[in-house]
Amino acid sequence: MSFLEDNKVVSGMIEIGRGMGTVMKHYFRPPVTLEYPEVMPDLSNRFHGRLSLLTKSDGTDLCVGCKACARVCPCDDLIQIEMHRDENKKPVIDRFTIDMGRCIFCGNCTEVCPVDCIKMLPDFELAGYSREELVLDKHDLTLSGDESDEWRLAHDMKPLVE
Amino acid sequence: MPAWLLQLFNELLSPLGLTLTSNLALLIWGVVLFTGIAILGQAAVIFMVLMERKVLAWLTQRKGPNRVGPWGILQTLADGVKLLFKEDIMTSGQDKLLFTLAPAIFFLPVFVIIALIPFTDYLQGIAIPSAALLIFALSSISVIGVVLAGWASNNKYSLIGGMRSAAQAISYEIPLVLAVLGVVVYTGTLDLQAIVSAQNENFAVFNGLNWFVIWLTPVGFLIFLISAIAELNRIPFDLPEAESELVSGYNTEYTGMKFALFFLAEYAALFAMCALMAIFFFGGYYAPLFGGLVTQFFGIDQFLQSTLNVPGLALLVQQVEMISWMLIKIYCFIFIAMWLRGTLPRLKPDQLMGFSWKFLIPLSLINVFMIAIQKMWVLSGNIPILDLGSGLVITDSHIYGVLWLAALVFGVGGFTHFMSSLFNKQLEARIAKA
Repeated sequence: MSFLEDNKVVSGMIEIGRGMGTVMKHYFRPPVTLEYPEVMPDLSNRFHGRLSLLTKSDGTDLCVGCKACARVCPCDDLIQIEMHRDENKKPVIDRFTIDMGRCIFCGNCTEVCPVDCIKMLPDFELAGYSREELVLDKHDLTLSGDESDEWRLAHDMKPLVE
Repeated sequence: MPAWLLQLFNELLSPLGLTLTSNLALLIWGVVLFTGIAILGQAAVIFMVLMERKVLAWLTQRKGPNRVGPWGILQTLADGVKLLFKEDIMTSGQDKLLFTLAPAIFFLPVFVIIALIPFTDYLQGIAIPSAALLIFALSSISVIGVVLAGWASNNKYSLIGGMRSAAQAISYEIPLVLAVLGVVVYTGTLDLQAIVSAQNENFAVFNGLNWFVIWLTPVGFLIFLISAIAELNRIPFDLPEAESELVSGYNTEYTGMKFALFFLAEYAALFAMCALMAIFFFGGYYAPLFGGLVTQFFGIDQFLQSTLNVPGLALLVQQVEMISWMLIKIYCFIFIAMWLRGTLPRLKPDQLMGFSWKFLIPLSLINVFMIAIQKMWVLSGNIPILDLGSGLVITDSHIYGVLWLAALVFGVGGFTHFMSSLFNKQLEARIAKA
């Protein structure tokens, strides 16, 4: 039927019909919409989300207070650490705050940490009602031993048992 | 008013010592029908707004509104309540009278058109024998509302939208009316009821295909579909309200219920146009098979009436069937309009005008010419003209048949070929330039 296809009027109508057919195919496909609060997106393990401090498997602090993360951070004084050493010269973290409101989620702190303590979780629900609320202290950041093990398992790391 | 209903009313009123004269009854029946159909029209529009959003969502693999009520069916009501409570903003420099009047001018004719549409052989708000003419006269009035809205808004985008709408409506009204003219020429009447029943009466001749669009005027239907979508300012012809260039066109400055009136009238006009498509080309309220009424053909209505022993039930069953067929056809066309919206991009203004004046109007004239020959063919009385001997006699119906075929091949075929060669020439010139 090349006679019909040469006719631009007819071929134009055929092309519109083909376009409509393509659109109709989409009609029967399942929707791609994620209804977010009810259905969470399937995020990668390597997602740059909320910062957190991992602990050893028994739940004791892992951080050695080297302040490498604070130094490498491009956002000025975003990470603030205060620490002292106890009678056995072991580090004790007095204060560890991260201002998530200013964090750019570059992930430099997680790369530089010598003990794999500060890590990012696939959690993006960080909104708060005030700027002060976004400053997370040590209590907010620290994960429990089980949660830390879970994270390590997901990233092909062994549990840390002393 | 049907006689049995008048009798029923008089029986109800007789204890009060009152009787309805037939003239008064006609008046009351008209008002009741008009109001009822207007309310039904509103309900249809409320459903259509939801349908549009849902269908467009499904066509683009989304879910659509699904938060208000089960499956989102109350979404339009929520939107309506929101619009009712919105502030009615009037900016300075607006012509206050025209600004307020414009939505009403746009809105009212559409509902008169809906009242003129026969949903069954009884259910027609205003039963007048020249409805087909009146409908197109009314549909051009609503364009004045759009132009007034654009002008009274004191906003350049609104004005451009209004002017575009006027230009578009003038260009596309012609092929729209010419496409219907073919049907009117063939049936010889402007009465929509007669046009519908004329399609049903051809059942015996064209077994099962009692639709004009199949054997009378497929080209006319295409012209009507394209022009109707242009007339309704819908994508791909939505230049008057092109969001990406004109914000929202003629209704940019409108808020609250005034905006809602525009919105309502647009969808009501879509409903009316789709109903007209069903009436003119797809047999109106009759079924495509079984003599137009499935319940009558299989005797279901009489069976129900005799078993349940309710007088008049057979008539009611038939009426319900007619309304169902009408609504099924209307919503099929509405779906096609939404499907087109989900598929095609918007035209440029020069393409829009050129398409109407250079292509649709000549084609619709050829279409009217072909239908005229067809009408002559039907009217021809097998008068022998030339005797070729050995039983071969050429009659005038043969001549009309050959003429019709020639008009089809050289008219439609030749015209489309001409347009195509013109397009190719333009394309070559553009390539040579570049």
